[in-house]
Amino acid sequence: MPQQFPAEARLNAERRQWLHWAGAAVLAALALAAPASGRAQEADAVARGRYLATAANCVGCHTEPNGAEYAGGRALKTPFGTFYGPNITPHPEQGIGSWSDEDFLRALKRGLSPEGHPYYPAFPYTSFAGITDADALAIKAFLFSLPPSDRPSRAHDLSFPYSIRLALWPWRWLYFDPEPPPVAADASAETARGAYLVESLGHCGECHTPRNWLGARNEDRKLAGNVDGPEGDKAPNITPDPDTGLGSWSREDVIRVLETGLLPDFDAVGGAMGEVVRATSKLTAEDRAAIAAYLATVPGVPNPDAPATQPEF
Amino acid sequence: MRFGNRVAVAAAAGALVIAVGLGSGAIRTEAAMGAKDVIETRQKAMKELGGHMKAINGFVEKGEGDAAMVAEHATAIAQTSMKIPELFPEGTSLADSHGVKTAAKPEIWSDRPGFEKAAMSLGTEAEELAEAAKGGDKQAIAAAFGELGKNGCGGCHSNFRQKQD
Repeated sequence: MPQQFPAEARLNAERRQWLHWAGAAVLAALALAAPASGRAQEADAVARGRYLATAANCVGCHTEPNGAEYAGGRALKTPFGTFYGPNITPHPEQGIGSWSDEDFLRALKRGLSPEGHPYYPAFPYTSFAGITDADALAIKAFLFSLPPSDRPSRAHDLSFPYSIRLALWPWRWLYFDPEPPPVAADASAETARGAYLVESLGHCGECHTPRNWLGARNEDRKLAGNVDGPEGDKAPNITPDPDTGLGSWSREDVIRVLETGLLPDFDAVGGAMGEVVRATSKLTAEDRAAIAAYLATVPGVPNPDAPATQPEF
Repeated sequence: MRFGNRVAVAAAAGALVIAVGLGSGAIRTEAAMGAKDVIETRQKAMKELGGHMKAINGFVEKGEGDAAMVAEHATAIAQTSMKIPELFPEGTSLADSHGVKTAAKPEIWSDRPGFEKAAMSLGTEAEELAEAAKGGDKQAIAAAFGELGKNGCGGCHSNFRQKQD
């Protein structure tokens, strides 16, 4: 160790002390500021996630009638059997409380559990695959802000052969395309936003596009209506076909049904769509308009078996 | 007079058999007619509700008419809402055999309290719209109209109606 003159040593000691206090002050300031801005960011993500979860209507399948929101349990009757939406509150055992960001992204966008098991496509991961990672993680932040529920998730009740979970692997290989449908190069920002809401977040095609006997959506008849919708309901044609779709609806007609549930003949939608309107009525007016704008651009497909209500002239 | 008595008894019995036969036949037709009439009456009532909604929408979307007109239609909806439970008597669901097309799900009877609550909420939402109309604020009217469609009409249709076509 080099020897120091006493004066120099004293100066160094003072300097060190000064540096020590200055450093401590800076650290303290950072320590106070960081969580504050972190908290603000988190609150922002939760609010954004709440809106996105509404657009995706997570509550629709993951909540039992009159039950705790997102605690699971709602029965979804389909031609393949009855599915029960699981508990997605942040409970560490019964919910998704132990999931990492990666677990959540893989489940939402790839349809795989944290253990790597495939989900049934009743969980619309084939649509959610198009959700951006940032939006997906905002949804996770929102879900993790909910009160945890210890309600256990219920096993699905499926008919043979759909009860064979291993069969989901070849199904994925045949039908799962993680790429969202491409948006036309000349699409306006509004139409592109509408495409994201309809195709990915809002997963409209899960009910309005018909499925084959293996449950895969027939994209050649995208949004052209499905006679075998959930709960035995018909999901009508929402393509711009003039006779059996929305071709004769005005833009206001489309926006109105999303906002109020009222059809162009002033009947009110029922069944599963009645539930969906609870979600779409909470969207911004801009987002409802974007949905209407995008629906006007998809190919029109006639479907007399599941026609949309036609306006009276 | 024994023979006469027997004739009288036989005649009376015969008449009774015929009367009962006719009567039950009449009762059967009346029940079937009843279901048909009830279903047609309520479908007409629903159409009328739609007409009121259409008129109110004209004001909300295109500024047709005035707030007083909105209040009138909303009050009419509230009044009809009170008659809804009696328009759905037993034996008139889509699962009953009356030969008439109806969208009334059996849940209307298996969850009667839920159904009556849903019908009542149509009345409550309509009264709120009537109040908003009396206030005259267009934004409040539009908001109450949306709630009426979504929760009033839609609240019942979501759980208790299954469209047949």
